[in-house]
Amino acid sequence: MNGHVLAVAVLLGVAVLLALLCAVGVLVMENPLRKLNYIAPVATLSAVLVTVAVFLSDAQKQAGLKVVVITFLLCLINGVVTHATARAARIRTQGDWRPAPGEQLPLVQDRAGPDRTNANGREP
Amino acid sequence: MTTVWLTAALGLLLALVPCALTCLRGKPIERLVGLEMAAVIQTLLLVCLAEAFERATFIDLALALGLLGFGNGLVFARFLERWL
Repeated sequence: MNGHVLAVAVLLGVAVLLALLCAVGVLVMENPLRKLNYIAPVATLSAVLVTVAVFLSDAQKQAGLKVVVITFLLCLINGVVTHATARAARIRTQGDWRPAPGEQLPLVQDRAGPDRTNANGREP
Repeated sequence: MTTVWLTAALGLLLALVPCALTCLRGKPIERLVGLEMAAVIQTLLLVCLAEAFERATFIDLALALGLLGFGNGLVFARFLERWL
């Protein structure tokens, strides 16, 4: 086993191990928002590791470029889809994605400034 | 080298089992998360298979799956907000 094959094996091993752990994380977590956190490592780290492995093992430039495009898409798309899913989960449970009048959300609370909600509890 | 890529593909195939279990139980949003995770893993799986069998067309499949996973996730999330 030469150096290139060993490097590819290590990179793929880490990528697959990460995917396995994150898949188990998605399975065992209770809250859907917590489950969502486990998609990101696979879509970013594993994808990058596989891309580096492709470049190390393959001399075909065309295939390598396509894998780079796939990795870029996964990284970009994952954030958008995760945000949309989290938003859907909140709307499903709370009725609206915006915080309710008395709801304590530290990050939102600090940045919100004065209360601008109307009698219905929503912004005009 | 083919063995390394096939072993990685097998590992990724195993990672689909927890995703399938997530899709089979729980609330609809949790099932959607399992589906999104499965789409990402399948994309990487197709890349590994393309390298293992030295078929460049499989990489196009992975590219298509990555793009379709985006639309799929957004449409399901939109419908799960209120209608499903």
